[in-house]
Amino acid sequence: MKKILVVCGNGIASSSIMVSILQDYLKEQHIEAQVDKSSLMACNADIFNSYDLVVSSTKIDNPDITTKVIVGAGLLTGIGEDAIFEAVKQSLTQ
Amino acid sequence: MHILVHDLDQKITTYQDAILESGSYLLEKNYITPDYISACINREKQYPTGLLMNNGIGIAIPHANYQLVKSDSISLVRSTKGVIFGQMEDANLMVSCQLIFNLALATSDQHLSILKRLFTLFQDESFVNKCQQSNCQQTQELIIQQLNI
Repeated sequence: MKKILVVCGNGIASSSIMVSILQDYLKEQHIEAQVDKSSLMACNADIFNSYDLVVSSTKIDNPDITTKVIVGAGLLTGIGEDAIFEAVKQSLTQ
Repeated sequence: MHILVHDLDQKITTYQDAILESGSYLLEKNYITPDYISACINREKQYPTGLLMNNGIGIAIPHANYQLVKSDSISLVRSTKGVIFGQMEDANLMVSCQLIFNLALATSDQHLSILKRLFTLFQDESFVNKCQQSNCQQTQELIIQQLNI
């Protein structure tokens, strides 16, 4: 099963909401994936790279991260939400 | 869950001053420890919480370590002119926020349903308009009613 890591600044509010929205979407699309949550402060490149996909509330500037990172703040604002879902789906089903 | 609503003085234009103000109302009620306010400001520097919503309104949700919170609460402060926050998705971008929801949640997971509901409401133009146009007490009642708390 593919593994997604959802991160935000402190792993409290934003990431929890993004996880919940993503899980609803994956369920609706019948995509099975493990969704974990963490904070940017708690994660290093090795942790990010142990996942198949990272969805972050904010841009991450770290060249050591090789896993695809999708900026998911649009899940909170509703701006570009469909494009984020599509990118997540593509990453998980390719 | 306690909801507090206040109007910001027009002179307040920075996120630091806005959070000092929103935090002071939480502190007054003893819902947070004094450290929570500076923790929110410090977090904002590193990981800003400003969001430009799809309805064009700027909303910020400053928050910090829940261990510094005594009682679940949200302190909304409203600005007619807007307070400049960094954007969550890109700290280099700014957004002028009219509504600042200082979240103080003592537990990280239990309130997910309330948070989710709140974010759904943020995307609801009529809710956001009412939050800006009603008086403080009406806005407080509206939020309590809409969050079903």
